[in-house]
Amino acid sequence: MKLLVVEDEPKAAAYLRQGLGEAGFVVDTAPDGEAGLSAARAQVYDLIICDVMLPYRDGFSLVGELRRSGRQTPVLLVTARDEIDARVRGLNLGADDYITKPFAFAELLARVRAILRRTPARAPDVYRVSDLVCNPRLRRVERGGRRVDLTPREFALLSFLLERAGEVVPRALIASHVWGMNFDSDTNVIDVQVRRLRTKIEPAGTLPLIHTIRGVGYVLEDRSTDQTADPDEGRGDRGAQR
Amino acid sequence: MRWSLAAQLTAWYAATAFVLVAGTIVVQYRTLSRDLAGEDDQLLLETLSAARLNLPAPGAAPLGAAGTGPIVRTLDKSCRAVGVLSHRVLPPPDCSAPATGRPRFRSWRSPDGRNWRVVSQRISAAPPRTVEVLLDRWTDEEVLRGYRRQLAIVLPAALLLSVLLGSGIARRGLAPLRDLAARVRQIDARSLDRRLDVEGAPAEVQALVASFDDMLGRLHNAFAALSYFSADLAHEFRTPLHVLRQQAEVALGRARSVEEYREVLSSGLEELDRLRRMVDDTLFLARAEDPRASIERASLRLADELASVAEFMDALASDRAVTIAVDVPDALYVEADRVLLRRALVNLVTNAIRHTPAGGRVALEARPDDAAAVVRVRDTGVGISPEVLPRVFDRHFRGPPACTDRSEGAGLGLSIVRGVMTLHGGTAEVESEGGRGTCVTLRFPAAASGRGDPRTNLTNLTKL
Repeated sequence: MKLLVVEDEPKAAAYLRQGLGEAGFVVDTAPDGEAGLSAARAQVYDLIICDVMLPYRDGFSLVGELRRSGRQTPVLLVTARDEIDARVRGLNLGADDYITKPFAFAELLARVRAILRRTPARAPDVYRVSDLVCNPRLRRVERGGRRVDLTPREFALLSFLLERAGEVVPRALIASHVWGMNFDSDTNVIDVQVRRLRTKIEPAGTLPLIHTIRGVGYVLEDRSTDQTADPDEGRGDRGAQR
Repeated sequence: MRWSLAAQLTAWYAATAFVLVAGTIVVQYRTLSRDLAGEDDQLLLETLSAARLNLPAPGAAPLGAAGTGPIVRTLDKSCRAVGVLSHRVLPPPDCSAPATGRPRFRSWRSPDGRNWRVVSQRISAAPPRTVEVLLDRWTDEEVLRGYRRQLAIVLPAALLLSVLLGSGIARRGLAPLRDLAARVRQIDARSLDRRLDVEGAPAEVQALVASFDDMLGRLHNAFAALSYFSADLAHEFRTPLHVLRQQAEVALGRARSVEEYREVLSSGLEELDRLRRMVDDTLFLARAEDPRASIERASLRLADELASVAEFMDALASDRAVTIAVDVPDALYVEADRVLLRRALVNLVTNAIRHTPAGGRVALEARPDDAAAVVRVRDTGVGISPEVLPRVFDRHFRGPPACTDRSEGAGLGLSIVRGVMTLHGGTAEVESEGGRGTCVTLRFPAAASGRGDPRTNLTNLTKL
């Protein structure tokens, strides 16, 4: 997957490039709106991540011009929080999504993947991570062959993590998608909910599957063959420390 | 341009005084001129009756022609008379006086501009004659002319004087206002505690002065709140920044293991997240106070909203052995922004759970109200002491240290609740009984009391 990052702040651009590169994307960067537009016209990208405040040509204008010239490359606009109308304006001009600074990198990654995923890969009949098996149609979960009973919300949480297995999922995204709480709050409810899910799907003696990424969120993956073990493991999550 | 108050008062005063003076003078002038004319007629009649004893012959030289006094002449049947006498043109003879013998007055203006007054009488002796007494009114008119000449000086002087007096009076009358303005001018951001003196002000401006003092009071409070807020904010930002700085500096002090670096970075991320949330919340509050901000209203079924929040918070509650109860009529709706409503409720329930000991209970209730709906979050917790109760909605206010832990964020939770209610045009109130729990009441107004510009979409701020 090839991405174009249009960002004038060199440090931000460099980190986006590194982060997205490490997440498996090929990344080009452009330092201003004009350079971004000509790059977007000259090459085929799967997605353009574009800052709104740019020299020479702002993000809105870039999206508008790109759409006028018939390019349907998805665009994710990035802006500072001041621009209240920006979301509506950006989406009207044909941007695909909108994210405000400062954002969690995991959040950006989740949005990027969501946009790229829009041409839907059909949800598999059965999710399988290590010896955890989940059948969404039957709402049935097994760990090591043993049936696990989950409440509907716990099941929704597990499914959400399974759909994004291997991706870091920010807390706010979980709150928003699983509970419909579309805001960032001080509460550590998500940590408590994840801990409860863990006690059910990770009974004593089994391999931990849900891993805490401190300051970011959670990831569900099988790390048994991974060299970089999560140092947090065994220390419990945020909620448990307090 | 509008006239100044002083100019208006002066103009009115001067006009009034001038009209009075001028009116008096006109009346006097007319009285004088009428009196003079009356005296003349009297003189003519007296002269006439005296002359009848010694009438000049018809056509003979008139009597009294030399002086300025009345002139007597007799006209015969042919009605002829001397036309000019010592360079004075005499009024033409007129024999049309009534035969009854009643005297007849007439006025005549000579070609050389002199006004004559004439009385004529038919005398029925044989042959019939007409006696005329003529009076040149030059002397009387000289008096009136003198009077008018004086007026030409007196009236402008009176006008000038009334303008001067008027402006003096206006100036004097408006002095309290000028004084007030001078005192108001001296008030700036640093002297908002100063007050204008209501007692010393004239009755007419007392209401104004009192309102102004009230406004100063409100401004003073707002200013104080703002400056405390800035100080609090700076302090709140300083703590995570300090932690971040120390961590990074110490970590870079010597070479460390990957695990140690990872720990520093993770801890830094947590602090940064706190900072980010503080910035977001502060921005949200700033927007909530902007009267132009508006929200996306929808008709929400409170039973659904309260149940969602209860379900979301349930894990946290049962973790602390606190039960959450929901009590809401089925068909109670409220016009509100879903994201904001949930955010307010989550904040309230989070607080309630935090301050309720194990075994306690948090109740989410909704009731119809006169206007629209009232939502209550009630707990059986430690309560809030009366001293701090009025301050709980203030930004960065935190409960007593005993129940403060870092997970509480920047103390903006309840401020955000109030901000949310402000945006809905509603109110948030808190009651508490020490040791028996706290109850926060959210009052939603009747629907469609929307605020301001619908393009401003505040819910965006709450999204990540």
